[in-house]
Amino acid sequence: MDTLPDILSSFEYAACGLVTTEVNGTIRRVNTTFCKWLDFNADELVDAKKIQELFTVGGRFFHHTHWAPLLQLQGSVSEIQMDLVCRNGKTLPMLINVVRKKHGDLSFDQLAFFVATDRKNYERELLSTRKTAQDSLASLHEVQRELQKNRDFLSVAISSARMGIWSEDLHTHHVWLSPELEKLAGIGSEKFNNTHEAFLNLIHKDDQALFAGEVERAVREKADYNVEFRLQHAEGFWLAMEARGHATYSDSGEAVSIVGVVIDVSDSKATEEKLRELNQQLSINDRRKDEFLATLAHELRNPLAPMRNVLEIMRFKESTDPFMRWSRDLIERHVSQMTHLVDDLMETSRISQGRVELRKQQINIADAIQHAIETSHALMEKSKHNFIVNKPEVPIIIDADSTRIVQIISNLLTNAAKYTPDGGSISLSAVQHGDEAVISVRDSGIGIPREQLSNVFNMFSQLKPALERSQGGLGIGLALVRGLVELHGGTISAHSEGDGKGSEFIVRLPIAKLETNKQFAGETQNQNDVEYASSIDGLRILVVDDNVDAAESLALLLEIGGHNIRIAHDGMTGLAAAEEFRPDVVLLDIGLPDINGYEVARSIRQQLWGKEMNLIAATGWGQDKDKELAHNSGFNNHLTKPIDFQKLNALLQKT
Amino acid sequence: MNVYLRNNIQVIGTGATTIVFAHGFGCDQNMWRYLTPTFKDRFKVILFDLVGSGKSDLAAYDYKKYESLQGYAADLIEIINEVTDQPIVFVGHSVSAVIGLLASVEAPEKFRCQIMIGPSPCYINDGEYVGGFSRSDVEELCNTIDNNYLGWSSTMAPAIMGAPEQPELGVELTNSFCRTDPEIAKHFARVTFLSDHRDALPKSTTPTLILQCSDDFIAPCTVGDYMQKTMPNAELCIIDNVGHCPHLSAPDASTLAIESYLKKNFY
Repeated sequence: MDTLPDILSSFEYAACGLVTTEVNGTIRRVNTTFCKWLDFNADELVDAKKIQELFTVGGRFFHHTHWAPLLQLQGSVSEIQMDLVCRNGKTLPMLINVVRKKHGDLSFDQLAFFVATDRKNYERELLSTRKTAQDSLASLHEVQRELQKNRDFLSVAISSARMGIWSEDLHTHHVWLSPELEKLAGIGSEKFNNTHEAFLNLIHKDDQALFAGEVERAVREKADYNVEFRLQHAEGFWLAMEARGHATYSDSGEAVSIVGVVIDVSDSKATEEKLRELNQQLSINDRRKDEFLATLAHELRNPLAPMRNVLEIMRFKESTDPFMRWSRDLIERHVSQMTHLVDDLMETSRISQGRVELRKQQINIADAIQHAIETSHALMEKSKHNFIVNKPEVPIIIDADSTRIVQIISNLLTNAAKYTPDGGSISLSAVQHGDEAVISVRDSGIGIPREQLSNVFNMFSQLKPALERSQGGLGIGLALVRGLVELHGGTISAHSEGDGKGSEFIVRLPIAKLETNKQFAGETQNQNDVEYASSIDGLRILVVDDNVDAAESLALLLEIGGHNIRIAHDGMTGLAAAEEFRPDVVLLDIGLPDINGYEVARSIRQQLWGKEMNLIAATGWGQDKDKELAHNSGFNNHLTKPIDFQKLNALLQKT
Repeated sequence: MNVYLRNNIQVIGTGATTIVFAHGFGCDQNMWRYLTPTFKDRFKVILFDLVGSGKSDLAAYDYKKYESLQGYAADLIEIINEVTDQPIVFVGHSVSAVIGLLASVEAPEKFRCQIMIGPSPCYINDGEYVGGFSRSDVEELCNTIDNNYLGWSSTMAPAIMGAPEQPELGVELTNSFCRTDPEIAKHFARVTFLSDHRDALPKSTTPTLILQCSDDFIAPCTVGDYMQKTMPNAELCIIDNVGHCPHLSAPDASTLAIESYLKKNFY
């Protein structure tokens, strides 16, 4: 007995659905498996339906476009994946093989169906994964594009700033240079070795230790490094560079790499150097200018002295000739004016050279005001200015050089008078504000344009050249005033509404810290008094000066004062004259043509007859050095040239 | 760009008149293997593959260009220019029939007449027009194609079962038949089945024969009727055939229909 299942059984219950159709699709035979899967009865299918009717719409399309032509031409199609529609309308994914075979005159299609649910699911998964991977890839590409764009952008920025980036992996010691850095240093990546050593070798050997040291320190201290060094360009020349950066660390705190930026500072260094040079040059020029002005002032003074002397003489020789008197007065006024100008110039340049000494005392502002008014009063009266003074009710005490404070205030008053048209008004006030003394001089004059307000205190600035010509002046008055104010630790400011709207100058000075209720220093010596030596007996005076006019005019003036004068114009003649004339006083110019005055003095002092003589030195600059030299050479006194007659007289009085 | 290479052009036979065969959606010029022998003695037979199908140059598949069937129409005109300077007889199956239609509107002087096998100018129903399908049907088609192309990509060899018995199969039938890039196939399907070129029908004055299959799921009879009525110079001939490819499943009837049309009108 055969225990094998029969063929029909094997057909009906095969592990796949088996169907036979005509070429046009009509179903002729189905097996049980197929019917079970699709939940149809055999009689519902056989001779009743075409196989296409069990397909979905998409399946039917596919049947027409691919299945049928292929079957026609190849005689078979395999692994068709299609959804079949079950009795209840649900779709069942299936895998189909078809073979067309001739049977007698007709052809029949034999179909095998497998349920492919799992496979479909698997494929779906695969497709989904593939899609995700594709999306991720697309995303990645997008990000890479963005990144590249940003990198390009950054590269442009870095290149234009002449910067570059580098990094070093601290494990492999592999060094990476950014393209910008390679370009800066003129190296192509083929040439560069990318090792730590190669990188260091690009650095000037004198800077290598510093560079390495700074980087190392930064790594150790977990800080930034910032170091300057020289980098060698591939063409040989050196670039001044600045490197900045820091290390990166792993989670455990171990240094993983160094990253940094290097900046080509050659240009800025070159600029710095140039700037320094320019500054130096400017400084030198400024100093030279100051020196020049000082020399100029001094030189201008020289001719003034004899002129003043002669004017004094002329005053003595009183002339009834009105023309003579008028001439003399005119010349004196102008010599006086010139003297003031030159004195101002001298003062300003001395202040700028730091050569002014203040003789500070505690003084009452009210006294200074009084003196200043006296000085400027005449000018204000002449222009018929309306002058108001607000004297402080309580004493305001400042620590100051009285002469200089008077100078400041009277300068401001004079300015006000000069720049206010006739009939205008000027006011002066002084108050205490907190710990400052505030002095204000206001006028209703031509005013100061806004843009000039900060400029007025600069030397040689003047607002209206035309007006200035008529009023006279170099424009240094305010520069001088500011210099003096600042020497006292104070400030001065100018205010004005503008053209034609008047001006106000405000000086602030620190109030003196009173120690005790002291009596304040009295009034300053009035320098305008001319004291003549008429009360003393005539002295024998030897004047040694190679400036003939100066010597002779001084001699004449002294003679009028009742003294006996001898003149010499050089050292040797002077020495001989001293021995012969035996004067009481020798006025010795230092700058003599043969031997200088110090020599003459020393020679005189070596003589018995010269030991008690009153030797007065006449020096050019009046510096401490000169005073010391004079003293060491044996001089009793020292005067600055050009000799001021009043000062000389004062010394003579003491003899 | 070499048109011969791009479209895998084959020139078979000689004759005064050139006849150009254009395959439909899904396969390639091999579809015409039953008709070619009949015509090659009297005509110069031109066979080609649409770009993206068969052994055409897949690299020439420009998604933008072939976003519309006009892209293929332009190719067809180039092919005609390459092979002849005389007006041709055009035989187009399914989507290629519409491609031919567009080309005949563009360059009517190049067409003697056109024979459309299983054509449809629009597959989707629209008001009174019965194209045969809804839009979702077309979506389903695209999914089905996609599923099957996963298994049929050109890198995998098919298991052809039971084929050797068939004498009709020539050796030149290779494994690449009906296989192409899945993405291109998907794209082509969308372009084909979503196209609507009804407005071109009245514009084509070329003498036209419409071969309509009696039971064609893809190009139903309503479509054939519509086309014949709308075209100014068209004849409708019904071929008894279940399916969409009468030139494969009923080659004799197809040949007969074509030849009698040509004889009647031109020879």
